[in-house]
Amino acid sequence: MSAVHKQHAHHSNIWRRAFVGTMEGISAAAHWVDTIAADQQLPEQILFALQVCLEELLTNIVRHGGTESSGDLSVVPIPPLNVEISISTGAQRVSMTVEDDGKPFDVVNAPAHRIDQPLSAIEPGGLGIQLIRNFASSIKYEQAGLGNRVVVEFLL
Amino acid sequence: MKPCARFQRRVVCNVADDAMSLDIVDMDSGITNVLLSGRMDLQGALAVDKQFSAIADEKKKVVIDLSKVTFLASLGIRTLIMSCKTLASKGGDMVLLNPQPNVEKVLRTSGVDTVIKIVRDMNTAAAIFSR
Repeated sequence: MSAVHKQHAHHSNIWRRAFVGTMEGISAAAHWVDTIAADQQLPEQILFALQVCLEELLTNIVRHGGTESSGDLSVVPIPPLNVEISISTGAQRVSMTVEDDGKPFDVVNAPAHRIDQPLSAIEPGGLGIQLIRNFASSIKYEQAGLGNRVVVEFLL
Repeated sequence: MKPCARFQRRVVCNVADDAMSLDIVDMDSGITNVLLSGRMDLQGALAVDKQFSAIADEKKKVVIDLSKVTFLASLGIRTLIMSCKTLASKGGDMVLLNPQPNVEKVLRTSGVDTVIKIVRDMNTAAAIFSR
């Protein structure tokens, strides 16, 4: 059975699809969101914001969701984590829910970093969370569904 | 008549199928112009990471032309920052040229613009290197 679902209810459309937590899975999810955005004729800025949040959430899952975090960009958990994404579009907002079965990680309360020190003192990390918080209109986290559930919303 | 860009050496790398391409041009002025194209996401950053390390090790005045970069994520920023740190540690510098509006928003939101200058044209970049 196809893992893709589209539902219509109360003037909103909902898409849902399962992915694996790998680099290929991230690319597939990005293409899927592009397709939905084109179908819904979403504004370019909303699509960009969706893609930023999707990329950062999935990168966190792939790099840190396994039993051991990896600083190596190319190392993914084996077996890869399961990820489920749903997108809902309405008249005033777009909502994206990302669930994963990795380690609990509260993206809402995790430390975010903006570069505000001299170049020599900068250490990598935390920029992705900063980007999510700035590009989404709102962000919520709970332990539900597959394990971690993050809901980001974008006002149209 | 528009003058032709003069260069000493040019390297074009298609580093991934549709992720990124990298075009490195060593100009007579001593500036290395790196033209990036594509998505600088996790896959794109992985694809160009080694080339960026080599550029940072070997060059001194580096312009990263972002005009054809359609997407930038935190790991792409990490690649830029780490390369710029290496350049700065040996007296070099990096300048970001002409990012698209959404990519520029990522750069400013994350604070990259506070440590790496963003410019609109090569003349401004050259002026920064000559300071």
